[in-house]
Formats: sequence, C-alpha cells, structure tokens
Amino acid sequence: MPGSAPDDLSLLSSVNRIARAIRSDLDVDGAQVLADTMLEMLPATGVAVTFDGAVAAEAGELPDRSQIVRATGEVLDRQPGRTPTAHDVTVGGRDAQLVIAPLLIDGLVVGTIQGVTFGADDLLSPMLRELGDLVGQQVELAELERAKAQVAQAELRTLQAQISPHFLYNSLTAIAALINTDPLEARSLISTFADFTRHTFRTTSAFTTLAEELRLVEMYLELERARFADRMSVRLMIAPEVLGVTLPFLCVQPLVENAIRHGLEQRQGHGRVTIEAADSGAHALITVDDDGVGTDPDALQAAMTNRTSTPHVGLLSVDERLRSTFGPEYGLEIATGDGVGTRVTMRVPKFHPGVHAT
Amino acid sequence: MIATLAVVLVTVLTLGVGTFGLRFARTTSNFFVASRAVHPVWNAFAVGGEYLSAGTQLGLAGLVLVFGADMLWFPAGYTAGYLLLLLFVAAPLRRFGSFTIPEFAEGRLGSTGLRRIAAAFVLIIGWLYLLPQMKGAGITVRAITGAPYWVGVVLVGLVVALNLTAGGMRGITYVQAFQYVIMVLAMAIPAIILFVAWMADDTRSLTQPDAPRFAEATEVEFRRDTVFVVEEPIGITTLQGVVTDAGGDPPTATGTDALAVLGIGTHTAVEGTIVEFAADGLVPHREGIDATGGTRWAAPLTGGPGGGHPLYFVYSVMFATFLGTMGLPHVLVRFYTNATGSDARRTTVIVVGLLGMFYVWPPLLGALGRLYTPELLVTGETDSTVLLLPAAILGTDAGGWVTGIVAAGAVAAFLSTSSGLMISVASAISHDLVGGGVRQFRIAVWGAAAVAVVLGLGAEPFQINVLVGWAFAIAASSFCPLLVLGIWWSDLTKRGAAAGMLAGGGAATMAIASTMSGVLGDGWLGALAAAPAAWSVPLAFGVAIVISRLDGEPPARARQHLAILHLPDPGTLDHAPNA
Repeated sequence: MPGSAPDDLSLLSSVNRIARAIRSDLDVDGAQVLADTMLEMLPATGVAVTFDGAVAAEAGELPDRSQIVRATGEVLDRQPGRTPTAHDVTVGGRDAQLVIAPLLIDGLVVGTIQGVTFGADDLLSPMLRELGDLVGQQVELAELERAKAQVAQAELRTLQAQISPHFLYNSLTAIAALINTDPLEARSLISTFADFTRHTFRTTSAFTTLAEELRLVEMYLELERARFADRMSVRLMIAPEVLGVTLPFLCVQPLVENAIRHGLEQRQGHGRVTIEAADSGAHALITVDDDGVGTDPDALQAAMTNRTSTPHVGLLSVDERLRSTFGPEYGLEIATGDGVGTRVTMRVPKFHPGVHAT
Repeated sequence: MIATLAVVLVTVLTLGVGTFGLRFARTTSNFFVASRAVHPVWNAFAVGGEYLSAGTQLGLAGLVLVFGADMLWFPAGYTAGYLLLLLFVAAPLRRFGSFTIPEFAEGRLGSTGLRRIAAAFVLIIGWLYLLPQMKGAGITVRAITGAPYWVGVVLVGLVVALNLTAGGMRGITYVQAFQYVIMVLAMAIPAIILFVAWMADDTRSLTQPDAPRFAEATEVEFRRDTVFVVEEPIGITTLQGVVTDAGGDPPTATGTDALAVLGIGTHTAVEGTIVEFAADGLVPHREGIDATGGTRWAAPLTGGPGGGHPLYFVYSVMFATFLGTMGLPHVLVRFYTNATGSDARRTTVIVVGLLGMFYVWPPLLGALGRLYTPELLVTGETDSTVLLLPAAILGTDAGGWVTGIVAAGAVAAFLSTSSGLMISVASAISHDLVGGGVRQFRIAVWGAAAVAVVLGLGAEPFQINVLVGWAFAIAASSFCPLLVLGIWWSDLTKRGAAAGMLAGGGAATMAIASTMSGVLGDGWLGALAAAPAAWSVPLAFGVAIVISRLDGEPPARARQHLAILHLPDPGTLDHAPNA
C-alpha cells in the first residue's frame, strides 16, 4: 500500500524484483518495474525514475513534469554525493516534498530516483539513498556481464585474426611450390583456402554445429596436408548422433591446429591426429589426440590457470570460450607429457539455454 | 536350448556391434563419410527399435487373447501417437535443439525449477516403463530356461547398465535399427508359420460363440496363489499342491480314477500347485478376467481391463497412447540425431509405416493364443502367450525353433527399450537434477538400473501392456501439455506449465499408484483411476491454460523462441523457389 511502510518480507521481495528487473535490462520496461516496486515499498505517494535528465517511468501521485524536470536539473547541475536532496513542489494544489536520490555509476550521475511525500521525509530520504545504491550496483553488475560477453566476442575475433600469419604463410608457400608441378592441385588448394578464410572470418553467429565445425577442420587439414604431404595421417571417429551438437564457433579447429603445430610439426617421421566425437547421455565428448612431441604439463597448467602468454594460445581461447558459454565446469581437459603426445577433451552439453546455431 | 542360444546370440550381437563393430566401421580418414548425418530412414528404424518394447512384443498378444477386439486400440494408438508427434512436435523440437524434455522446459520457459519438475516426471515415467521391460525379461528367461523369474530381471539390468557404462553407446543408432529388424522378423516369421499351421489344422475355429474349451487334457502350473472362477463343472487331476473351493474344501473325487470335479464357483490354487484339466472342459478363468464368449470377444466395446466401462476405457487408451508417445523421454531424444527439423519429420513418417508393419502380427498371435493356449486364462499369465504358443501348435521340437525366434525378438525389445529408458533416467538424474559429468552419468546409470531391477522384481503380477499403458497415461498428462502448449502458444508461462504438469501428471500418477495398490474397487472410481488419461490430460491442459492466463507474464523471449521453433531450418531457405 503506498504511503505506509511495508513489512520485512514484502520489502525483501520488492528488492529482489528490482534487482532482477535491472539485471536483465534497464530499459523502459525495467524502469517501470522499478517505479512500480518503489511505490509499493517506499513511504511515498508518488515515485519517478529519470535517466539522462528525462523521466523514464513514474507511478502514483506526482507533481507535473515541469517541476520534476526542474528539480532533476538542479540535482544534476550540482553533481551531488549520494545524499538525497528535498525540493519543494506542489501536487494537486498541495505543498509537498520531492526527494531525489542520484543514481551513481562509476562515480557519475546517470539518473535519479524520486519520491513524493506530504509529510516529513525522515524515512523516505534514507530509504531512497539505500535504494539508489542498490540500483547503481545492479546496473554496474549488468554492465559487467555485458562486458564479459563482449570480451568473449573479442576473444573470438582475436582468434580469427591469429589464425592468419603463421598459417597464411605456410599455406601460400605450399601452394606456390605446387603451381608448376601440379597446377590442378594448386588450383583446388587455393579455392579451399578461399573457403576456409571465408568460413573463419564469418561474423554472423558465435555458434555452430559440430558438423559445420568439422567441415572447417577438413579444409584446414587439406591445406596443412599440402605441406606435410605423407608425414601426417588423420583418423576420425564421429558418432553421428552428436553431429548436431551446438558449440562455440572455432572450438575444434584450434585444437587440431594445436596438435599439428605443437605436436606433429616438431616430431620426426610420421604423425597421427585422431578426432573423436562420442555420445555420452546428455553430453557429447569431443577429443583431439596426437602422437606428437607433447609438452610439459606443469608449464601448460600454469599458463592455463594464470592465463599468461603461451604458445598454446588456441587452447587457452577455446577453454575460455567454453567456460563462458556453458559454465565453469566445461573447460578443456588436457592430458600431455614431454614426448608422449597430447590429448585434449571437451565436454559439450547437447543443449544449453540460449545457445543456438543459426 | 535353441531358444537360449537365440537369446544369447542377440545379446552378444547387440553388445558386440555396439562396442566393437561400429568403432571399427566408423574409423575413417574421410571427412565426408565421418560427418555424414544419420539418414532419416536409418533413424526411423532406430526409433522403431527403441520404441517397440516388451509391451508390444509380449504383452499385446496376451491382452488380445483375454479381452479381444477393444485391445486393438493399443497398437492403433501406439502408432497414431507418432502422427501427433509428427504434426505438432517433431520438427519444431528438433529446430529448438533441446535433447531432453527437461531441457526444453528450461530453454523455452527460462525456469530451472520447471526443469527439475520435468526431470522428476522423466524418472516416474522412465521407471514405470522399465517395469514391463523387466517383467518381459523375467518371463522370457523363465520360459526358455526354466530359471526363476528374478534371473531375467537381474540379467537385463546388469547387461544394460554394463553396456551403457562400458562404451556401448557407440553406434547406438545402428544397434537400435538392427534391433527393429530383429523384432519385426521375430514377430512376422512366427506369426506366419503359426497361422499356416492353424489353417492346416481345421479342428479349431475362431468363430465359435462360446468361451474357449480345453482341446485336450492340459497341465497348468500355478506360480502364485491364484483364485479362479469355474463356470461349468470340470474334471481335474491334482498332480501337486492343493486346490480348494470357496469353503476351503478340496474338490470331491468322483469314481476311482482319481479324477475330481471342480464345481461352479471360485476356487483357490496355492503356489506351486500343478493340475491337469480334463479335455473338452470350459476353461476356468482367473478372478478379475471376464469369461468372454467368442461372440463377445470379437465384438468391440465389450470388455477390457476397464471392467464394466469399456467405452470409457477405450477413450482413455486413445488419450494416453495418442498423446503419450510424444512425452516418452527415450523417444524424443532420438530425434536429436536428425540433422534438421524436416529430417525429423521425414523420420516420423517412416516410423508410422514401420510400426504398422510390426503391429499387424501381435493381434493375430493373440487370436491364435485363444485357440491353442487358453489355459493361460486360468493363471492370468497371458504375457507368456507368444512364448508358449509355438510349442502348443507345432509341438516341442519344431516349436522350439519358433520359440527361439520369438525370444530373440523379445530380448531385442527389452534390451533396446531398457537402454533408451536408462539413458533418459540417468541423464535426468546426472544432468537435470544433480548436475555432473561422465562419472556422475555412470553412477546414475547403475543407480537407475538398481531401482529398475528392484521394482521389476515386484512387477510380475501386473499385465505388461497395462503397465505400458500407465506410463503412456502419465506421459500424456504431464509432458504433452508442456510440449504442445510450449511449442504452439506464446502466452504459456512457467507457472502455468508447472501447474499443468503437476496437476495432470500428479493426478495420473496418484490414480495409477492407488490402482496398483488395489485400494479402489470395480466401480466408476476404479475405472477412472485405472485409466486416468481421459480426464487427467484435459485437466493438465486446462490448468496450464488458466494459470498462464491468470499469471499473464510470459517469459521475456517467448516470441523469439517460437520463431526458432517454427521458422524453417537454417539453410533450407536456399532451396526455396525464388519469388
């Protein structure tokens, strides 16, 4: 009931509702939820929420807009601390107090929350101040989450960019060597190369299916084979049941590239990469295994945990993106040792809310 | 002996193909081969293999034997369920990408609580559906080796759990497709052989108006204390054990040849009793089974486990089977193997045909069972009809071969269905309820198998197909509203879906639990509880719709989700004709 202090339980549930509304998105709807809930919980007859000087939502009895805008302007001009200020206004011909608390984000005032009272504001003012703090924090958290998603996106871009230098050079020299001796093969490699880059640099979706990702791996391997010739063989064991699994784009190819660049390339003689995808109830298990030189497990472990620079940057990025997409328990599992090859396993849920390949 | 060999052979093939054969076959260096999706036809065979269970392989013929024409609604409904799955669920659900129903619940309505409720129903349906598989295993192993009932139950639990935890899920699609083929052959070949044998033997006719009579002196063993009803005095020789009448007296002997006569009324045989009924006598029937004359048996709406309410029973079976198929947890997961929504649809169409090819045979065997194994009416163990029929018609030598074929099909049926159900139950535990990885999944498989075996040991008194029908009824009352409304109605809210699922599924579960415990009588209340789908499904839909309307707060992304569910598959637009 507006104007009277609510009991503890409804207060808690109001706070919870506000937190959720803001975390999901503080747009017009979110602001309205905030205003409605404030009216329920505050000892005020009317409340308003403003952003960037404009009224975003209001509820209950309020002074007319011009008074709100003027009072808000005063607050914004003054760039106050967190303490709410009271302003004299008239509501329906009666004198009232408009108490305004600023919303501070990273120390900047981005908006206000306001409440109207006809009596003294000794409860309204501290409540608005606390609420203002809460809203500010939640908005910051929401922005942090958005930033996290952007970092993952940026990570993908970096990975897309990183494929090129080393690989570009190797592929092009390999193709160049073939142009005179085997022009047909060279031509087919160049078109594979074009396809591969087109697929790799696509930006439409962050997700793909295992079947699509395998096509990318195939193109990649075709280009690598031009260079490795008969020194490398690839074995595939793919359970057809899991071909439709959706996973972050560029999650398998970097593992294969890692196996070749850090496993087989440095090894004498013939090497083998095995790519396996198995069905395991509600999950798919994808494994990339090579019999190359392997690496020091402790050093790799340290690099993975501290996210320091490592030549295995592909693994790091895949690990990062799997965790940020599916949750912290979905990181890569790596078994390796000096001279014994490397086996990288990822577990992918067959379905995860919000993850759709398009 | 032959039958035992057949059973062992199918089991070994199943395990072997799953673990080694396809591992070898699938190893390739050819990307085109490796990343080729399962063809819709193959997947349809696999769906058929997973779907056809001990219920239809063994139970259906027995039901037809006892109750007659009304029971044909079961196979019709089991098949028609795929039509509704095709129309409303298959393609959209595949596009959405969810693997299990709980995942769909969470993905579509954004609530982990809802996912847990759905997972709980997966457990209820899964375990209830595992009961008839366990019973099928128990009676099959007993029929062919003479081992006690529990041996088969424990064996199937062990084999399936071992297979699932030791990598037997490799190539599961092909294993199940192979099992479908075994099942169809194991039904069709015996049915044709026995049918021909019956045609050649013109002494027995299906068109006689009376209840069945013993064609020759027939030995009957009572494995449990059994109360049976005699409608016409019949001579018996008690070879072992005791038979008493309602007053507790043993039958009176007439004459000196030790042949006693059972008078009209109820009689009780204690466990372990073996008697021989005289030839030409009208076959007594276990209490609770109607003595149906040939005319009544062949006519519709005349009986059934619904007691005195056959019309209600038929409608309830229709509700349960038509709408329950889409809610079976182990069936929907198979569609994940299809590459696209349209492939899922194509698979479903083929499944309808494959099921049709299978379901013509069990009713024929049930009808023959009425002529050649009517003694099953006395003990009520009609689930064994298909297993005993070959020896009854062809004699033990030739019949042994045919029984071997039948048993092989039954093994394929309960192995494939049990595997699928245990994967679903274990996934619901390890993925939806507890959350965990490969290790938790393995532990959950063993846990699920242990529960299924324990429940299965107690399942012997229940008719296989009745248990199956109950699993369908709960699936129809809980998951059908969630799926149909979730896919087609953007205003469904998480509270509405939860309330509908709990109201419908909960009511159906309680009705069935009270029927199983036997507290309800034969009246309308008993009939309503024994076949709840006709009221519990509308209840579930009604509650879900009303609560959603009152709630009025559909999840934020409902429209986007509906777009994902219904827009054509990505990529297929390329093939659309240019405007």
